[in-house]
Amino acid sequence: MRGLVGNGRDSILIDLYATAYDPSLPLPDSDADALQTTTALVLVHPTWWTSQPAILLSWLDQASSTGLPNVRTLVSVTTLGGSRLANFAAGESGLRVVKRAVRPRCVQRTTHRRLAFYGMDRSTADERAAFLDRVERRIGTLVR
Amino acid sequence: MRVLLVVDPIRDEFVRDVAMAAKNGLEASGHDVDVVDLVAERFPPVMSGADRRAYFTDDPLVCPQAAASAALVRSADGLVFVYPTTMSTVTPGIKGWIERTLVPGVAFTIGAQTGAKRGMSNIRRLVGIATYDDSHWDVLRHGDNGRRLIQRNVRFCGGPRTRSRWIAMYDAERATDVGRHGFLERVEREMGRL
Repeated sequence: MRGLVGNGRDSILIDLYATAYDPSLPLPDSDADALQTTTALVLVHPTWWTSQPAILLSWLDQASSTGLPNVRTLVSVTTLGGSRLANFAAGESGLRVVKRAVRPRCVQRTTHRRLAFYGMDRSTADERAAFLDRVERRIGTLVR
Repeated sequence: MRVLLVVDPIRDEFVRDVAMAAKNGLEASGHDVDVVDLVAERFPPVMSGADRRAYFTDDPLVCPQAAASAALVRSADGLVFVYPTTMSTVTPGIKGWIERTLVPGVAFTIGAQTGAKRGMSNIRRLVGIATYDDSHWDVLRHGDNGRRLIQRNVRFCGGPRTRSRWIAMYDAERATDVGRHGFLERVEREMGRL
């Protein structure tokens, strides 16, 4: 958020846990309304079992079936427990879900970029701080 | 053989019929079948804060429903997933069940140095039964994330002796009643031969 606001991007934060998002109910009206005018969608999540957590998969399914008529940019900011090699071997499904299932619901030629933090499980505090810095610096340029 | 059938009939009654066909086929061949119907049981797919805090402890199953499912997994010899493909992968319900049930100590163990090690060698048969709105060609072209999750990532927890089987219905959106009926018969037949 700091990186986006610092670059003058008008941003809304939807925290699925803080708003107690319930997958068994329809998408909240406030989320659906916000998505109508959204031009960039940034997904911030840990990677579990090679893809997005179930709560985010459910939200994405509901959000993309409502439509993402103005989204031109998709960004994933994610942490992955294992190494780059281990995740490659496991299949990187999270990347494919966005590319194959979310991107086709957006504007044509929507780009998908990713800021990934591999090796989260064995990371040091310094590495985590460096990733936070990287996200703050890069997010403004990824979101046009 | 004792088989656990996990089914997510989200917005699709046909998927429940498919699960029943699988159950009938298995029972006709003398297998014991446990069914976890994620919609009927209102299985919560969301990993809660309490779940997450307990995840890496010795007792990660804080939710009674996940603990009940985990007990079924431990006593099963076969594991079957039945779901309609959603966003090119398993339904959020199935994904949530996997996240909250196949935790450390159930499906794998995590050592400080060794990383994840398989821990579900009791599962000898792993089956996925999925319906797809897309054609077979589109699924091949775009990648099948649900199949990869089950046949690669979940199967890893079983080990080299876990045999897996995939039963797919492509173009499910455009299927006729005859096509649907044929698929139910196929599921019952193939599960009977497991």
